[in-house]
Amino acid sequence: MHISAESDCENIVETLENQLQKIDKPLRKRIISCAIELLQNNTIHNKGNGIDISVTETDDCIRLNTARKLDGKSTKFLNDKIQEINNISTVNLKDLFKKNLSVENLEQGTGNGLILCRLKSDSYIETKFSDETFEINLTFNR
Amino acid sequence: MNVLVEATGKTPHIYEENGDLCVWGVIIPENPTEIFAKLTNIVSTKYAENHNLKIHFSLGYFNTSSAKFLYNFFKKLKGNEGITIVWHYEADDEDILDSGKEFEEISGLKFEYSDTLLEVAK
Repeated sequence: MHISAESDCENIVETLENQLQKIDKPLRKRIISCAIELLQNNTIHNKGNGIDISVTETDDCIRLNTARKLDGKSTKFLNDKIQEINNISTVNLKDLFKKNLSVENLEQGTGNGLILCRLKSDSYIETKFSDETFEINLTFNR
Repeated sequence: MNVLVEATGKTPHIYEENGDLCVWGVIIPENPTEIFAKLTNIVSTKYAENHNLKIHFSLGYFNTSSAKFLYNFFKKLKGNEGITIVWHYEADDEDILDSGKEFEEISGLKFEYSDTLLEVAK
């Protein structure tokens, strides 16, 4: 599924719910919550470029794969941010999530989207980049 | 049911029923400023009527931007006597229940919980 950053994505929940309806509801909701965050991270920080989102299933797990066009500078920034999150324990990430909620400014982007992706998935956030394409992949155990 | 704000794909229905205020659906806009401004205005107006207001939240999804606005919304309500928050969740949805408990803990408000989502006639 390709989602254009320019498009409104108005019914993104309904679209994802329909596409993933065979997956058990609690797991489906975790996947969709993460997909929303990755989509909106792209919309806010990578204006003008779309994002590809796909879900692949095995017997043991479900993977949420995303790919976006990104320049070298932004790739480094985003990858560094993700590795920083991967290096924090989930207990400390939960505390950081709560702390970010209470930061006064209400500008777009809270810093919590990627943290939520780590907390709701079952492994580190995986990244891959080549030829100006940056992938973020999440794994969910069944 | 008296609809005060119609739902969109990214924002919830806000409606009044039997004197209670209900927020139903999803809150996932990239920028939640507008929907929370509407909600805050509605709550202020309703609360001013008799300083007694029950607000139901029945949400399937909210994004992290909205989580921050929800936290601020609850924090501002703290100290207003007569405000009751009812946090609805589906019985198998521990994530939404946990979110409610976190909002309750960090905002200092007292929440009531219901393991049934509100049903809204479409």
